[in-house]
Amino acid sequence: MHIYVYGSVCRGEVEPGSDIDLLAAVDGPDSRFDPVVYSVYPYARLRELWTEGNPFAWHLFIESRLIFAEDGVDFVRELGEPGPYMSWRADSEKFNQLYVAASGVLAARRDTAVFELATMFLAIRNMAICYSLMNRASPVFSRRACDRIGPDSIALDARSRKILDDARILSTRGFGARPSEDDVAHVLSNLPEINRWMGALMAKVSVQ
Amino acid sequence: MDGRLDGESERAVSEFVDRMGAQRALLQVVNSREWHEELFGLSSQAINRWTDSNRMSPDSEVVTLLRSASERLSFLANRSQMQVSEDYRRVSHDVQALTEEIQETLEAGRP
Repeated sequence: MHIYVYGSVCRGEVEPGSDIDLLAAVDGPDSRFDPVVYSVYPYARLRELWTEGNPFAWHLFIESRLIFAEDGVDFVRELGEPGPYMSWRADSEKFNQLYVAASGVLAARRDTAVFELATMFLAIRNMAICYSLMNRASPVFSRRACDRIGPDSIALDARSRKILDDARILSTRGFGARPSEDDVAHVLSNLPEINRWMGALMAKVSVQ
Repeated sequence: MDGRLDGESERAVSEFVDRMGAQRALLQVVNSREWHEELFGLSSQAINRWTDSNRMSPDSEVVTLLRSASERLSFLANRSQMQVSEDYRRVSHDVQALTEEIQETLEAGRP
């Protein structure tokens, strides 16, 4: 059994509502680990992710820190560099579909507004992370990855970013205040910029 | 680059989008009722917040069903690629059945 810490705390991005991401690498089902606290992955699954060049494998490879190793060996370091990231087309399509669905529902109804805003945040962040991996220059895994991909960063106003970010924290960690109707309307008014950014990112890659 | 996704990638995209759709459907069922505060997500912490803000018992039928759905959705997100369609169909069916059960429980007024 191996335990790693990864995510925002390894980047020093600590904020109210921040959690600490913990990974448990195990042989198989292991009741010692509460899945609410740990991301529990069998070694076999981690090896698959490495072979696929999966973004999570790259995230662990670049940012994780070993906390405990039953055998004294750093399992992640032993795996070495993951395979090349090859699934940009599928991933960008996936996150675009996710964003289109969430923004469409948000425009039509309000009963799942926080979930839709949180889903839009997820789609934007993950699109930027995968784009940075596809470029292979300097992968970023930050919550603010969409601001850290150089000239391809999103040009979205600060208020919209905060509303989306806060909704993600509220939906996943149950922390924070519900956005107002004015907040929702503000994000909706900025959908054209997000649409433009996603379209530009996908189009740019398709010619590479 | 080929303009189409291969079969495996198409399946992964479809399952991911479906999984988010299943969460949305469940939230819509719960939030179709009047609450002091709606359910914001299906993470354990979001369910805890909803339970507290609506002064519900953590052992109530709806909360127990929500936690079951949350666990199954986590399983789908975290399963091995080796456990392909069979697991996915079974757990998707479980989540759909739990959503219906939650709807019936709420309609019967026994949250």
